[in-house]
Amino acid sequence: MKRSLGVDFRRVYEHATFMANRRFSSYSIAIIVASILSAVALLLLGAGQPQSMWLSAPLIFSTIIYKILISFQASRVGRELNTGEVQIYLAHTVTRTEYLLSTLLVVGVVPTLILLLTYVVMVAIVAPNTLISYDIASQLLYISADLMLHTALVMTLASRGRETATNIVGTMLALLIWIAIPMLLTFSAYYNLVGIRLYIVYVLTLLVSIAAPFTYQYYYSTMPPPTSPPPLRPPSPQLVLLISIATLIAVLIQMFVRFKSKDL
Amino acid sequence: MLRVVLIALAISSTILFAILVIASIYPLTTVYAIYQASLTSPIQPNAIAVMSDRVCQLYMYDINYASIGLRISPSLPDLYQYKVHLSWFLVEYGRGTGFINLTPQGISIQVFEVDKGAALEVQRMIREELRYSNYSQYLPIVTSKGLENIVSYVEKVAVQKALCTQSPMFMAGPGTVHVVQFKCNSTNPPSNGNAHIVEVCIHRDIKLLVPQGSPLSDTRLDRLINLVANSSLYNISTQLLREIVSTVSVNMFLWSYAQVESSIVLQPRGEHVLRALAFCTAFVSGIALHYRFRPHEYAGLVRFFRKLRQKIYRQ
Repeated sequence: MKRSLGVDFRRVYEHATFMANRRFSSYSIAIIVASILSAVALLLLGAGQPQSMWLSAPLIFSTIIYKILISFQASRVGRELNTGEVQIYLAHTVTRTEYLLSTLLVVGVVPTLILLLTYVVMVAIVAPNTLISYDIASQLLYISADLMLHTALVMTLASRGRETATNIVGTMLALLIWIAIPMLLTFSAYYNLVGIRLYIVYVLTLLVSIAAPFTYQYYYSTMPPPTSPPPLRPPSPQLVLLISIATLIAVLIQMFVRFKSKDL
Repeated sequence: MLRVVLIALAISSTILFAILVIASIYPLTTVYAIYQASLTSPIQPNAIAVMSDRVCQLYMYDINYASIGLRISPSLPDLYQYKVHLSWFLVEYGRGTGFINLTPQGISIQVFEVDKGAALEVQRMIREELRYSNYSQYLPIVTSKGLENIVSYVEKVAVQKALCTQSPMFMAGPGTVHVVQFKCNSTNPPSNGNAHIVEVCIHRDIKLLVPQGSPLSDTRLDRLINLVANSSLYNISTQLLREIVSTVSVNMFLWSYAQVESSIVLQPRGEHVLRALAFCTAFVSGIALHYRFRPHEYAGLVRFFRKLRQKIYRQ
């Protein structure tokens, strides 16, 4: 575990722990709010819907809160870069790769892990018989891709030292995608678009949905079937998920490469 | 980092535990709907008899309102209870050409609820009576004595009898009643799977409205039924017989619909609460264990609790 590809994972873990403990208060607030919302929504609004919806709807709210938390945490990384605090860590404690890995752990992986585990625990308490099912497994995959891609996007901004932009873009992305996806889906599924407009809406839907595959999957599956089939069906959630994962890998690679060569 | 995860899980399971405890004490209605649902489509009588001063008809239908209403997930967790309650039901009679000079006193209704076994027995009795009387192949006419026997049996085996009040009549025109409506209540809501047996009695001298150009001259209800029952005796042509039967049967439809209240209630069981408590305990134990090995991560928390203790102690 100690050292692989020039990375000391123990140091990564220690640095991540140090950062997580420093930011514990913001984590706590997000966790409490999201937990209350999820629990209340799951318990009060859950019944009377197909199982996949019963599980998905409350999670949409949680993902928004966690995305805002991720953006907030990422902006603090941007501040560390701007104020020069990062140089203290990089001077003796960690390498650039280790710093970026530990930052990713704290900013993206931990909130994602918390949301997934909270959700699994909730299902285990409320309906343990549904715990090992395709529904749950696919939900976990979509949520992970959703939050991790958001992390990668805001971290790209943060690693360039754009603290305010990270905050604003991250929060807007979390809030606006939630509204944009159903609008675009409605356009592409119910409006009889033809020609160039049809392709513009399709590409827009694909671009927006890549940034939030879980939200897209939720709206796609709840969308009532159109009376007449559209000439070009909206992209399937599976396709969106695959492109999201590919984009996530690409964004992470370019972020690492740029950060390694960045003049601090 | 593990501390953050453990504390997050402890917080979320504690919140869930609190909600489950509250909901197990005070069950919460999560979804509530009230709607009118058909108990039966318009049906024809199972038995008709001309009594001393009335013409009585007996109807039967199964009570089934559990499957209608809220859309329920097939995998609804047992955390939720689906409750359906029938508050009252309406019985409507008529719907044909109309009854001339029918007054509220000219019609009466009795609604009995019987279980499945009794309903099957009543069906058997009606079949027996029809075979025995053998009046007509067009209308289920039985003897007055036969109908009395069936009704007295129903009264004996009925689970409960509904109390029905007549609503204002729907008029087809001046002096002509189109539909008679009764609003019925029973002490206990009717049970799904049971059957309703409805006896409708209408004054025998009530006339039926017939369209212009009809070959029927006398449209008194009892006489029309008498004609059908003794068609061979009176030598009635098939065409006229069909005319009489259609005039009678078109006015003898009965249908029923009910006001159903359905709700989904969050009512956690002991096992849900215990599971939440078990998770809570596991995560709190996890925090304690983690504190045992990495106490420096909890320095801030320890400091906070120490200050809190000092403040309380000073007061």
